[in-house]
Amino acid sequence: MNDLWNMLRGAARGDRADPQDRTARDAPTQPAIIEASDLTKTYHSHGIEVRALDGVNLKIASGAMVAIMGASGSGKSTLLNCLAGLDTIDSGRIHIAGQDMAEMSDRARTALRSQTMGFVFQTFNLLPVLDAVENVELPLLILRVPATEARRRARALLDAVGLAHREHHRPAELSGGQRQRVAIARALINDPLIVWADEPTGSLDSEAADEIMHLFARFNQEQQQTIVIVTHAPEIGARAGQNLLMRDGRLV
Amino acid sequence: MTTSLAMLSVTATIVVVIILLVWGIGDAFIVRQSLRNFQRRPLRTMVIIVGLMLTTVLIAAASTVNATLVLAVKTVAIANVGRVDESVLQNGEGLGLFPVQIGTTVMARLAQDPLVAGVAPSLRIDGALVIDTTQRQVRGSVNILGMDPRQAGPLRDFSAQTSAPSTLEQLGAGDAILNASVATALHASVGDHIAIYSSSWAGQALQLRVVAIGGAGPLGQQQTVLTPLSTLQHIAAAPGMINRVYIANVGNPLTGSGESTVIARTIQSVLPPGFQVQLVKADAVNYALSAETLFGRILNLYTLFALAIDVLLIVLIFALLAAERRMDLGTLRAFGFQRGQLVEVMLFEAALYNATAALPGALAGLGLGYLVVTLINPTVAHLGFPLLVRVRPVDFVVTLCLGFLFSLLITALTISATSKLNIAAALHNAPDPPSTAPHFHELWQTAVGRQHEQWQRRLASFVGVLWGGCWRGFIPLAFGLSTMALAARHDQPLASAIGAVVEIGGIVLLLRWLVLWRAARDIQRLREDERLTAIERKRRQIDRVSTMFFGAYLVVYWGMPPMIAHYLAPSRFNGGIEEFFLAGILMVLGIVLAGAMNLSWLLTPLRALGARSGRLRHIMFIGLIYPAYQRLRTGIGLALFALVTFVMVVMASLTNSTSQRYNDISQLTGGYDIIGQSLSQPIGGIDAIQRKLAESDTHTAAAIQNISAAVELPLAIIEPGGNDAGWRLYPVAEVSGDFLKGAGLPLVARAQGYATDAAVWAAVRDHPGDVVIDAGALATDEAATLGIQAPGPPQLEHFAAPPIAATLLGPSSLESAISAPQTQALLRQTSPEVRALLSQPAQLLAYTLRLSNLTDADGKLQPTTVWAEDFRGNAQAARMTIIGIVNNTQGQRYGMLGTVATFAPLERGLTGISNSYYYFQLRPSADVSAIARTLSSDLLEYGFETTVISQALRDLNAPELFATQVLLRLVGLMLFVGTAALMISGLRSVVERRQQIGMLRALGFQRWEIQLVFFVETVLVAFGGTLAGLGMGLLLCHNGFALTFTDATQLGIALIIPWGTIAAILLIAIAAAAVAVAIPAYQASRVPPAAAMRYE
Ligand SMILES: Nc1ncnc2c1ncn2[C@@H]1O[C@H](COP(=O)(O)OP(=O)(O)OP(=O)(O)O)[C@@H](O)[C@H]1O
Ligand SMILES: [Mg+2]
Repeated sequence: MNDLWNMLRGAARGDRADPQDRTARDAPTQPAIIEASDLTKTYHSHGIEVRALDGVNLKIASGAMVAIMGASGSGKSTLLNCLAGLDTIDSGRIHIAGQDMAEMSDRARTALRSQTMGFVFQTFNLLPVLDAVENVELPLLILRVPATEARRRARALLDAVGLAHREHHRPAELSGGQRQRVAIARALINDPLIVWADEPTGSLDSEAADEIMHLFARFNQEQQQTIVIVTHAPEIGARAGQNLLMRDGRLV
Repeated sequence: MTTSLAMLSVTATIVVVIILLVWGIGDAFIVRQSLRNFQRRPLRTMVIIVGLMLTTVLIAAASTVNATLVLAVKTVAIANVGRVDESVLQNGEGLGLFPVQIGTTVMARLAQDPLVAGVAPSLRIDGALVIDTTQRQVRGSVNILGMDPRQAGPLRDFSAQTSAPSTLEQLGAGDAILNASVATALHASVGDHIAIYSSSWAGQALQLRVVAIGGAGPLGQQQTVLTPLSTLQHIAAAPGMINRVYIANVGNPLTGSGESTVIARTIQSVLPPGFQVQLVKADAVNYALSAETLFGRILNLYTLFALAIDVLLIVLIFALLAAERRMDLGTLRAFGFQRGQLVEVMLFEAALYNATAALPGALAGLGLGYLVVTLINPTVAHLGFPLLVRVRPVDFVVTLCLGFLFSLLITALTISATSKLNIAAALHNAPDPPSTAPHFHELWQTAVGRQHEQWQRRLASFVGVLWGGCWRGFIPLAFGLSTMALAARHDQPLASAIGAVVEIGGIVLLLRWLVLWRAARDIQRLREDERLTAIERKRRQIDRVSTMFFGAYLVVYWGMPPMIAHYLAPSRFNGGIEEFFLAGILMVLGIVLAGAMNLSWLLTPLRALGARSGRLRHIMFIGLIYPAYQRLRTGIGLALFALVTFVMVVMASLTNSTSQRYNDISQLTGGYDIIGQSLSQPIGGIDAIQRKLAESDTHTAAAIQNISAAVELPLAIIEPGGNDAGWRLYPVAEVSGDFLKGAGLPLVARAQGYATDAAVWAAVRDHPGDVVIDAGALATDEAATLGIQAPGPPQLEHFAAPPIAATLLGPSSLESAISAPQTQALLRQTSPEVRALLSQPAQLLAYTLRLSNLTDADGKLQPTTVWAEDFRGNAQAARMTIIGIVNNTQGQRYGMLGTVATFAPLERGLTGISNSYYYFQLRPSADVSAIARTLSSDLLEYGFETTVISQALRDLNAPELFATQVLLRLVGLMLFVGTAALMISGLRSVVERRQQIGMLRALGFQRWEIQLVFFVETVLVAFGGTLAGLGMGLLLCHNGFALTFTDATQLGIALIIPWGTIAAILLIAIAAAAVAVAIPAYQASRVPPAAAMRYE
């Protein structure tokens, strides 16, 4: 299984067009791949201001596995979304792999996302119209990988997450844990530098959650991918190399 | 609208509102929840309300327009008959004279009657020839009227336009008042001398001086000269005699006719036997309204289709709303709320939307109706047509109530149908699993069994049984069969056709169920967790096949050409608006059903193409996958587009065909400007006219480009080799002059051996026996073989006058043409059978010539022999050879046409027919009405009456012209409504997918790529729907048109498809849909992905 996995990863790397990513990853001492300073974000709704991020500073090294923890409503999801460029910030700076996110056009940011990031969300967010393998290969289609190649890699990844026999099931025909595994396969298919996961185990039982975390840990160790996980669960925090604790929009 | 309908709708609305209020007061949760939903998303609420408003807008606009149309038609009818409401006359032939005492009796009887405003014993001489010797102008078919003015009341009122004596009492023995119509025709002015000729005083002329020019007068717009009663009695040698007693009712002319039957009964009581009371005005109004029927039908069709579109839109909106609420509903149900309660929340919410939409909708509809009428005003101003929008408050309230009730009903049905959801499935946001409902017999047991059960349970089980019976095909099958049997017994073709459709549907469902049942047994062998998928797959397959079959059946059944339908499905059409509507809806339903269910298969080629589209591959992938996945949504979207396009195609074709029939004057007239007829003595042919003009008036002679002449002959024709071999009637005209060079008579087909039109005409000219005939004489398939668009069959009036001139005779002058001495003389010579036929226009159709054997095996026209004989019967038949077909798509040029030499042998021994019509085509620069006047003046000695064709056509067809203008605007309105519907559906399709947009953006879709996804999807649905609608529309128009509209209304309208308009409509529809998704898709793609994903 591991051999197959490494073979796949090698093949995936061969396809990758961006040499800059390679240098970032292969450097012996890991520089910060994610760097944020003085992030603020305020939500306005119904005349109430909610300061979701209040001067956040952080550095995450390449290849790290980081858990962001904190009470409900402390701003974890907001931080994750802002770091990943899924949401806008009011002030502050975010550098991903040395590039200033604020100075990028939406286009460049989108391209950066599709080439270097993978996402896992609490509510899976799979496309209901696609079956498992189609969901997994979608990011490769965006990257214009040839169809047969994309299908081959998607199949292999589904196999790696233990869902080879559910290839043609639609999300609605899968259990929660299975869906999340499909989502993880999708997050990894583009061989990303960073995987963002917002409470990936939130809607799973502890056994399924354990499996998922095991997958994350494995990918982190084997591929040195940077993994940022938002979670409530202390045992997950324990597995992570680095723990960040949020309270009222600040890191403490 | 009747008062009972008003009462009913208002009561129903009040009841519904009270129920809603009581319900709301009793259940605070429902009110709170639905109010919250109502406010939560203002944009969505607005879109829904606008969608719902469309219903009321449509009903209100259509009823406003209809009210205006009916009012206008009535007004015209009344203007035509004047102030007379009832008329007493004696049965019998001739002048129908009776002693003036009868008039005095009637006067005495009605003197105190509060319903009567005036009584006038009168003498009326019809069909007189008036020559204005001062202006040198001639007019035939004029009524000369003398009346006893003492008790005439409003009948006396000529509403004089001049200051000269305006009351009849002041009229001197040699004085005349001209009404506006005749004065205009004669270009007369006060002081002119006129001479009146009539068969009632043959050999003399009544010489009068014009002392006043009146307005319409008691006889309305019929050409009337008013002179003292005694003068008229004297010259007609009928002292002390009258032939009419005219009665005018009190009140406004529009409402006066209401009391006519009461008054008629009163009069009848004092009349001796042999007299009758004609309800002149009521009859005229009824006649006019029945002539308006065609437009009323089209208007009804329009309303029906518009409502169908709106139903689809409402279903779409609320099905989407229900889908959006699935998650909510699932969660709430998991907490223990009853399905009923949740449906109640949605229903209450829907009632809020409906209530908000009703009033603005009705007002907007009223406004649009006004707008339509106002926009028409300038276009019809030249017709002198009265345009008054008068909407009674009652009608408005009814519209309001009906709109509200209708949309509420559809809403409620949609909600209860779509919210039948499974809790677990809803929580998963998954499609409902295959029904694991209890077995049929269990349900049955619960429903009717002996054990103790709650009545709700019983009812629910009973519904379950019914439902199951429907899906298994038993109930539809039984219903279809019994409907067909009943319909056959009561001769109801429409019901029978519906029965057939339901029955086939039942058979399909039954087969589907049997196959599924067998499949279910096979599947038992599979692993537990594979069973569900396997049965689901099987079911999908079967659904595909069965919908494909049923859809194809619907399209074929309703779309088959009439010829085939005649043998295969005799019950299909019998010419009614309902069939037309039903056929349309079912055809669209059929094609959409088959299309939507088989979309994933139909899209395979596109998907293969998409996979090869390089940079756009992922966009095509996502854009093509959604429509196939969301079959219901796509189905409704397709149906909406298809229906809008279908309706537009049908309406545009109908409207275009009718307006072409009335609007295109040069088509109608064959390019001729003036028609002339010598009324006092034969002029002696075209040569004589030309000689005369060359001598006396070179200016007029120079202005004339072509002169033709035609004489209508009463011939019967037989086609020996034809399918319908027997003596048949057809208009026949002996033509001369430039007709024989083809001027105004373009050919659509020439017999083999004639290379050009000129060759055909040369043969007709030089070779006695060679004739041409118009396309109206061809049997339907013969016309089809030759690729000719045939007009409807000729009408009675086409037998009464030669080509082009025929339709210039309006209904009233048709009567006078028939009662004219020449026609009467002619009729007396014919056999009783022919006479009976001519008096029964409906029967005429069966005896109208239908040529069926003109073409050879290659479909080419061959010179064809027919035999003809004068039906006055002189036993002289002659052989004719048809060598060309005249194009008369517009139904103006009816007849078999040949030369004098051709027809002379047939007329041997019979009275010659001297009634020649002369046709003048002027040079483009000429002043048509001036030339018409000088022609009449130059040929005064022959009593040469000239008519400007375009003017006459316009006067004649004013109501139709008006109505076609209305319809044109309505088609525009329809396009507007259809577009709005499409835009709303587009808007919703983006809104409901916000979350997925966010996700796609997170995965790396660029903004423009998201927009493109929606574009691909919309264009796909728009294009598919449009194509289906276009195809079905053309098919239905082509097949159903002649049967449903032309034959049924006897108007001889040919189908003319306005390709340009249709292309524009299609573009607008697709563009509107594209814009409708482009804007929200643009907005949605600009929202940060995180925010989009958070969307509910
Ligand atoms: N769209 C929004 N509009 C207004 N306020 C918001 C919005 N999204 C989040 N918030 C507020 O911002 C704060 C931070 O929210 P966030 O979702 O980041 O919390 P979280 O740490 O992820 O919580 P949880 O662990 O419950 O997911 C909360 O107080 C929340 O109420
Ligand atoms: Mg969160």
